[in-house]
Amino acid sequence: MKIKAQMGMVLNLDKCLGCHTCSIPCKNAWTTARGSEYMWFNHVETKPGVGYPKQWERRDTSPSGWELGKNGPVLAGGGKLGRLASLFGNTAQPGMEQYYEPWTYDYAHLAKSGPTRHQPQAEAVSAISGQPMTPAAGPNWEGDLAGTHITGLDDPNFTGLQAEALLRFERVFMMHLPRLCEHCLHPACVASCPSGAIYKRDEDGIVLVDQSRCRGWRQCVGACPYKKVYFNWNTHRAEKCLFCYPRVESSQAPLCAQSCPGRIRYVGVMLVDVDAVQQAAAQPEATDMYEAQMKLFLDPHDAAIARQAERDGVPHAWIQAAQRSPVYKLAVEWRVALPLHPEFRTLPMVWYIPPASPLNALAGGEQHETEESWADPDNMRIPLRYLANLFTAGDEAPVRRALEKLMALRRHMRNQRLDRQTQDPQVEPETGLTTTVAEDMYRLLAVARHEDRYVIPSAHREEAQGEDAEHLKGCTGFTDIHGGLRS
Amino acid sequence: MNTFFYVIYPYVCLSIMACGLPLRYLYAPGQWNARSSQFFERRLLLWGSTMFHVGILLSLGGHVVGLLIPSSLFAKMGISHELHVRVAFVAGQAVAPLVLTGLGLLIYRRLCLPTLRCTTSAGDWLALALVCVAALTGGYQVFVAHVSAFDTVAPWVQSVLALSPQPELMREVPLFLQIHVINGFTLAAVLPFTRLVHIFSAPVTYPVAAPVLYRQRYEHL
Ligand code: HEM
Ligand code: SF4
Ligand code: SF4
Repeated sequence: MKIKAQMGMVLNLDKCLGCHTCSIPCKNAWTTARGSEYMWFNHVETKPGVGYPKQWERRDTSPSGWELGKNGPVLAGGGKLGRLASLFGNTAQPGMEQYYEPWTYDYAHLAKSGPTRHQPQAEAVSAISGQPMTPAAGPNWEGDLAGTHITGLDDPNFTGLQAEALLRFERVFMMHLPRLCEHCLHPACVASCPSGAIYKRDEDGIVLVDQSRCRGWRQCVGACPYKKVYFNWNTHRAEKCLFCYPRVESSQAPLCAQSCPGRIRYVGVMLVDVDAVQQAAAQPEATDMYEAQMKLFLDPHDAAIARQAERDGVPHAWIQAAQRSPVYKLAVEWRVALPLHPEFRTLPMVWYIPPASPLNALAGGEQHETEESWADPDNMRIPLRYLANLFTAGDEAPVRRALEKLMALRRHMRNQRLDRQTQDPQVEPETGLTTTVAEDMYRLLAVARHEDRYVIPSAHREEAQGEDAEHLKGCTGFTDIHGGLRS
Repeated sequence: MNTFFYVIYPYVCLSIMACGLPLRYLYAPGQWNARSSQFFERRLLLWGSTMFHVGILLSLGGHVVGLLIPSSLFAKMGISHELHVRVAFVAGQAVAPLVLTGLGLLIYRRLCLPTLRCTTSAGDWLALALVCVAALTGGYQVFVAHVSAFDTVAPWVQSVLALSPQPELMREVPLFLQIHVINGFTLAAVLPFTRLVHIFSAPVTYPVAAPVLYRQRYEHL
């Protein structure tokens, strides 16, 4: 066993407003430069829909992530030799038409226009060529179900469901899905990079592109099944979410999490057995991937694990942070958070609490909701199978369990509010919810403060080997991204 | 004239390349890549680029074998002069269409798509133009002219590399082939300052790399 610390995030979709506040500071901080206009390290999708880039979840037309080979997981888009052969023209890289042509507006015209009968208009112009254009796609083109009665039919999460019926007005459902790089434990982007420019940080598992080593082969762009590596058409290099590492290193939450007015995000440390990662990624059945990844998360409260982690170089403060990790609580202790598309076999580290939804009116005929029936995950408006296709490779049981627990928690809190005596301290034995767990869950999910939602230990720069802290003082900002000799 | 182009010029070009590459790598590594334009257009590129590259790499191989190995060595291996020439032309005739068609597609897409046209730098055009001249003169040689270069250009290249250039070997060479040769050295000279540097970053170590790369945070500072 070899233990490493890994940053993780949980998003509580039950509370996501779909407000896109998260995307804004992220964009402002990282992707405003020429060439990166179309990059959204964080973006919010409305599901059902084909998402951004279009059809990112479809792996039949453009293979990505990992698949099961004879001796373990192999890159789905071709092995190493295949990738070398496709260097001259990369079949897996989505073209601009799968994202959108970035545009801005001709604001100068507003000032320059002489007197006219009508208000002057700022025309949309391409951010690339400057030519007038009509925007016909964007990062949020399906926002709040816009056009989903058409695009939704191509949503692969309808597998096993009647998409057409479910997209009809009376049945249609919707949820928001904020997406960012998953900082995977078994990242396909890293494995696909022929130049060795993408790497996983030893200390916190954050996946980064070394801009000075990237040679622009674009293999990572196609290999990432979440399509979260973007190609900068101006610098001709790959860029991706950096988990706001300059903030995280000083204990601050990434900007998407920090800014979220819905307070749906949780950031914390997990202790992971990295020696078992390869094997975990090689489950024969895709539906086993969720449980396999759960086994990689080690119990930080276990004294033996903590000792081993310290021996393996995890700083003491990080082990303490892992013990307080909200991600560990939500994913492992309470099992209410689930991975996004575990069948991609990259072992993602941004997990989601599935959203509860109102009772499906058609399910119970004329029946009205009763206190018992409003909690039934099988009758919720968002089909259980749809959520299962998103979060557990189609296995409904874990999603049902998570939703039942969340609904049990609501019942418990409602009873408290109404001053009803719960007879039993075991509030809901069948869902594993005890009074103490319920109180803890309530606190973390509903009223947790900043310091409980983001438990981020600072980086221990002073212990970094071969580093002269005094020399670095005052010169650790952003280096010129065009490189040059480092001083 | 002959002295300039066939004694001085090659060394000037090769020196610029030899100094330019490390200098560029150290001081402006930012754009050290192939400047891919696949984001804007993929269909023509997949065909054009693949044909062009397969062709150009094969033809580079051919140049190395044909120009750098002295004919005497071939003779010793039992390959007659005629056979050598025949093989060279047949190989050239197989490869040249690949290069030319590929280049045609690459240039066509660059001219026709607005997004591509406005993101193409002067250096990109220069590289394409030089490669184009090389391919056209080369194609003319293998399809039309059939000038034997094995007792003119090849020994001259060897003499240049041996640091005792013999410009008189090039005197009888027809103009188009002279252009091919001079253009080739020009290509070497501008190479460090254009997208062509990507040739030197071909990721040959990838097959033996670890599947998932871990790196310590400050190792590279
Ligand atoms: C050694 C292996 C090589 C590899 C892996 C390679 C790879 C690439 C790649 C990925 C591109 C970008 C295509 C795109 O737009 O997406 C490219 C473009 C280009 N390469 Fe290479 N290349 C190699 C060798 C060469 C050689 C030997 C030459 C010729 C001297 C060459 C000349 C060019 C030119 C002119 C372009 C620009 C094409 C355009 O106008 O779009 N390459 N190469
Ligand atoms: S989500 Fe994609 S880019 Fe992020 S670590 Fe995983 S494979 Fe790499
Ligand atoms: S994650 Fe937060 S900031 Fe982003 S859309 Fe949802 S509620 Fe808004």
